[in-house]
Amino acid sequence: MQSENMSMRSEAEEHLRVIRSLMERATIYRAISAPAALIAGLLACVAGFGFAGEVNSLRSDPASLVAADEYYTRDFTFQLKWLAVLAAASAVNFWFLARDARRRGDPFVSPAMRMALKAMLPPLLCGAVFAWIRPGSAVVPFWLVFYGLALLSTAHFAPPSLTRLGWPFLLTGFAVLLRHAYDFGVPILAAPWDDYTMAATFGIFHIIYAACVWAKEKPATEVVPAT
Amino acid sequence: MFDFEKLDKTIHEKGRLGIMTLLATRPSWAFQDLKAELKMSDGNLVSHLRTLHQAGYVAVTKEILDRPQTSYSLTARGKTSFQEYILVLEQIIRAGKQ
Repeated sequence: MQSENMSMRSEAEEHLRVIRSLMERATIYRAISAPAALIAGLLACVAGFGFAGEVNSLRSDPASLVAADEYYTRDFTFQLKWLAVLAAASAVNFWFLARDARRRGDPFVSPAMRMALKAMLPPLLCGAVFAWIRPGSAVVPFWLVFYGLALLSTAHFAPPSLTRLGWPFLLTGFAVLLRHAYDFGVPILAAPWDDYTMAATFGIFHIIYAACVWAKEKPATEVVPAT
Repeated sequence: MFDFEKLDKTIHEKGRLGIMTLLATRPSWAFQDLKAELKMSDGNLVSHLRTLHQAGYVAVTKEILDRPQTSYSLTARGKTSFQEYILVLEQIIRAGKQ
């Protein structure tokens, strides 16, 4: 009887190991929902293409480029605007993730979501720190690179579309970083194309991602009831 | 003394356990993906899926994308039974430690 118990226990442990390993391998979690990506993309387009005017006129008027304090005041508005977009987009994304979790009958903070947060947090934290230490729009390439890395860090459990979204951010980030390398030593103010870059990447890339995800959604199906 | 009869024998078979586990991770799985992940033969997989379907644990969905495709998902009953099965496994381990 004792040996039977022992064998059942080791069998139970083995089965739980199989379950855990298969679940870790097969879990798919979409950390950015398609509707949230669409809304975030539109918000970024409005912020980048629609509200770049004031910054542009400051940039194009050499008389306005006087004191370093002024640069930083204006640069602060650049970051503030984009942090507001980030806050709104994140709120929308969490709302959609919560809705999807409710539909599936899962808790909002599911093990998969914890896994996604753990993977994405380090690069996102780097983006936040660079935003703190770099003036104004000099942060754009770092935001792009670290956001791209955050998306790529979910590769082992995210659907391929999310990983594919990470690469354009990373590569565009590198390109912008190279361009900014020529600005070293010069006070950096938000250039028109910094806003346009933000709109083209965080805006257009997200809209394309949402369109691709929707395009792959399945048509009407026939369900065979359980007998 | 633990009552081993509590273990759901339909799920306890290793092949079907793998299928139930995978189905618990996503809303649905295509037949080919299940086959690739579990490295089972067509016949073996079909046989296990039929058993689970007959037990009311698995729903079958047939759809036409580029070509006909069959996908599988857990029913509400399947989800509950799988959760209960895991609880029983945990009880067995706890009972063995005492």
